[in-house]
Amino acid sequence: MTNLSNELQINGYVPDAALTTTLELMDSLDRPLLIEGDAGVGKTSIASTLAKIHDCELIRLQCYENLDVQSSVYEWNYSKQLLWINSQNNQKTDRDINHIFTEDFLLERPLLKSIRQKKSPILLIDEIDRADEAFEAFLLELLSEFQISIPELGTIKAESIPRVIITSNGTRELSDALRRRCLYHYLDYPDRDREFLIIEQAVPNINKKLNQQIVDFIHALREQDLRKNPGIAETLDWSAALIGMGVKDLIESRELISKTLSCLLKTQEDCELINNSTLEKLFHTAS
Amino acid sequence: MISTKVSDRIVEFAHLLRNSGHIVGIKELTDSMRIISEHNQPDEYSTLHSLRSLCCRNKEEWQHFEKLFMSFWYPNASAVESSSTFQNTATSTLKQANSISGIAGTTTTLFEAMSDSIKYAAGKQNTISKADFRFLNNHHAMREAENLAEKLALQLKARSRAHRKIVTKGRCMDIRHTIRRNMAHGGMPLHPVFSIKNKKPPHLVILHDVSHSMTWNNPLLFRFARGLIKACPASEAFVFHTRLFCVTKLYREKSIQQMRNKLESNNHLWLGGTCIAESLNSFNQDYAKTLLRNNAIVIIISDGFDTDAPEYLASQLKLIKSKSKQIIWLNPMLGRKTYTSGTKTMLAAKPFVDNFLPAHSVDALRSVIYRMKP
Repeated sequence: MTNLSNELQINGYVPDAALTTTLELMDSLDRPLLIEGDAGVGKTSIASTLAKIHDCELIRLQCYENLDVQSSVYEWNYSKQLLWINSQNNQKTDRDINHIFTEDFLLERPLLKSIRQKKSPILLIDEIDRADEAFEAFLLELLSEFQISIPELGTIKAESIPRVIITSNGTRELSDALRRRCLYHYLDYPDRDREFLIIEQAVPNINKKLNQQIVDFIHALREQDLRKNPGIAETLDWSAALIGMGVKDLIESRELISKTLSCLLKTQEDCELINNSTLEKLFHTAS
Repeated sequence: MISTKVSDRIVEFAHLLRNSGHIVGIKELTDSMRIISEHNQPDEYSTLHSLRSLCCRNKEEWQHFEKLFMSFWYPNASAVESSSTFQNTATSTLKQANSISGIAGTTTTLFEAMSDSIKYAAGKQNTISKADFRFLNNHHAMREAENLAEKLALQLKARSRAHRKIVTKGRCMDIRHTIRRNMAHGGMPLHPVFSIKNKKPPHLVILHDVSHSMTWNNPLLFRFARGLIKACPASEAFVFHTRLFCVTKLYREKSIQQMRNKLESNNHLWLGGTCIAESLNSFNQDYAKTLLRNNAIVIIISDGFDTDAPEYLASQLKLIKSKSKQIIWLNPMLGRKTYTSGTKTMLAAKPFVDNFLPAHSVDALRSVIYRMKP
């Protein structure tokens, strides 16, 4: 097992070998990493775990529709600029006007902040597929050159190169230009062994038999034609709920279990799909 | 430093990836060589993962990569190793690079096996875009064309995303831009800036003929229709032959495979004959009231072969036209030189249809998207 894999596990993230290799590659090539996968497979938590490992700041940019440069890169402090102009007793010159476009009046937003850190931070650009195509174009300069151009100030180069992690749920196609600047990793739902370890680490007081039953049940549930498959967070919530209710064996507590399925099923369609007969089959798999 | 022989093989592997649709540029190639040269004893497992992260751009490439990697570097192993088998052999190393059969050996068989995709290597996108769907018998080309058709339809979303646009005249002042522009006047809004909302995505109603005569074109037109439905959230899709069925929910399936499975499991949908007028009558009776409005664009996808009377079709189209903004008829037959649109059905429909457009190739579908821009 590599050092990075060990450290990830110590900090609560159980990686597979492919992910560890990709993260090592990201460090050695200084390239951003694009992670795709269904919601709830652990894309975002990679960034927070890496921040713990490298003992550095985690700078997060949550993407949304209409996200623009002013909210993500920089903004001029307009109120401060106006106050400064008014304080000059109406004797403004061109030099005064230029002065308001200096560092003193600049507000840093996450992307600019990330390249002005002394120590390389982790920059998490979360759910980039929610942002517009135009926003991807802003990112290209940052991702390839690690610099940002501000028309009034010039080009600001990175003091330290941030470790950039970009996540996407695949709800829309990202541009080829963005993809080719990044390393790529597709994060799937964990296999049984890995999910067993994840539960064991997150819910330490769980017994092995119940843990195995939960893993089998969840994997059988993911094979159903659900609209929203339960992710790792749902598995952990459910495991914690079962422990809290004093469940020792999944099969012996069927009645109780069916009442806790709200931890796993998130849409009305899915609740209707998992009826009693389907539930019986799932219990049979878990036993 | 890696030997010339190994670097040559990496270049060959990059060519293989390119022929399979991966985008492998010079940077990816040099990075691949750098990774292999930096590792003194790289095992095949970490090499696979490293090259996969470097050379893949999406889920499909990611899932296909292991197969290509194994076929190229380990041609003597069974044609396609499963992941578990591969992991069992993961202990062997690339310590003596030349001992790996893939490096010293030949991959002629593999290249032959992949000749289908290689045929489309040069100017692949261009060839597929122009090709008539009937002549895309090759599996890879079909898949490629399907993907292109869906991506094309999704462009409608990019065109009509609900941005606010900055303008010099309007009703809603944009405070941020106004202050920014009037900074020289101490913030006094002497030159106000306004913003207006871009137009919303069009409201589409798709009526898709799935009768036997449309069999050749349907896989692609399904993907095109699916793209339209995904791009325009308020839209609805129906398929018809002798009866009408709503399929919006199936098109909204996240996974294409799930959509295909569900369409196939509903095989009662595909019955053979065509009653366009009767199907439109069902639509008018059951759905038109709720779905048609003055901004609705109705798209009929059909070759126009109808068993109903042309007058019946005309009366139904008249009803639809009176409640909607535009009717577009996509006819795959219009792309054929031998086809004349003077059939009784098409002549009866002509007064009520705003645009008769061909739908026989990806390029033809592209012109449809341009007609629908908001």
